[in-house]
Amino acid sequence: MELINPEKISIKIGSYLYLPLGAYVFCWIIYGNQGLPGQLLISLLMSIYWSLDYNILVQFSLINVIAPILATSLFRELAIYKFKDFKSETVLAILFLCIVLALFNSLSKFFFYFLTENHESNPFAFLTTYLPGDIIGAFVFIMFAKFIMKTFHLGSYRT
Amino acid sequence: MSILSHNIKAFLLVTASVLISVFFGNLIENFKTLIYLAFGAKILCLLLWGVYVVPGILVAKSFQYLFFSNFDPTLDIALSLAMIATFTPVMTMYMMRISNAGNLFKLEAINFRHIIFFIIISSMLSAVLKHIYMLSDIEFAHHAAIVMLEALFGQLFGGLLFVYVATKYAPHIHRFASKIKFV
Repeated sequence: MELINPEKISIKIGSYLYLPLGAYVFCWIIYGNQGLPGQLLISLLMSIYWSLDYNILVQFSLINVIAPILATSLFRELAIYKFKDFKSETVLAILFLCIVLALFNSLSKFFFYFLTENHESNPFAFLTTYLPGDIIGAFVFIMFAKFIMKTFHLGSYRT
Repeated sequence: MSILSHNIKAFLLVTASVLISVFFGNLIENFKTLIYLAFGAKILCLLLWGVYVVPGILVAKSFQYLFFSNFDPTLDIALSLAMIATFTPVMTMYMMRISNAGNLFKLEAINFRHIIFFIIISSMLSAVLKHIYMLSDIEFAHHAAIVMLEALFGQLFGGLLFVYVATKYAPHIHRFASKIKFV
């Protein structure tokens, strides 16, 4: 049974709850480099499922994987937060990470989408859906994953 | 009294940076768009004198949008853009303080790495908010993306360059200027 019809999905506007971004940053912080091939593979597979244009498919999949690396590296290199795991970070630190991550992700998608070709979609609608969707989605996913880890004593909450 | 003098200094610094940008913009093509010095001046004023200089910066930015912008904005658009440009760094400063990412309100506690982070985040937020305000009226999405990319990199380079030069060479310039005798 098909839960969502891919033909009805439009890339011109984003989701207001883009949970995968939270999953990507979560995997990057927990598993590091070892999780990157898996992230890239699932990102490409999902893009194929949505039957996107080939160029956009590759660009958006790469951005989804690279944006969390850039955002966390910015925090780590400039000695703001360490982000070794989510146990030691506060809720506000995670929210700040989500805002920076959403800025990187949505702006990169915006520039790649509109600079490579002259699309007829509305840039205002594009940014005002992608940006809040990324922030809310990433924050909700990370907080939920943190809650699950704390409840079932998983990962860094084991000790 | 000191707040008033700091506001006047902030106004003069931001206006001077705008005039420098306009001067070099006439000489070198794309200078104004790629190195946006006013952003760095604004950041430096906020770091040196705190958030009390917001009125001075707001007046300077309104002045800039009314008289030195490439398009002809109406008064309400110029004021809205000036408010976005002024309050975005202030918002970032507060955001950094409440999330323990660095206290930029105390000059003694400021780390230069935190300033770099502050400039990167402020430039991104400022470019997004300013252009979201204008994007609804722009028909050509491709052109809008180019304008936004230029604004983003202009603010980033201008901010980093201005703050770096000011922190590194300001004591030398001050020492040199104090030796000059105006007879």
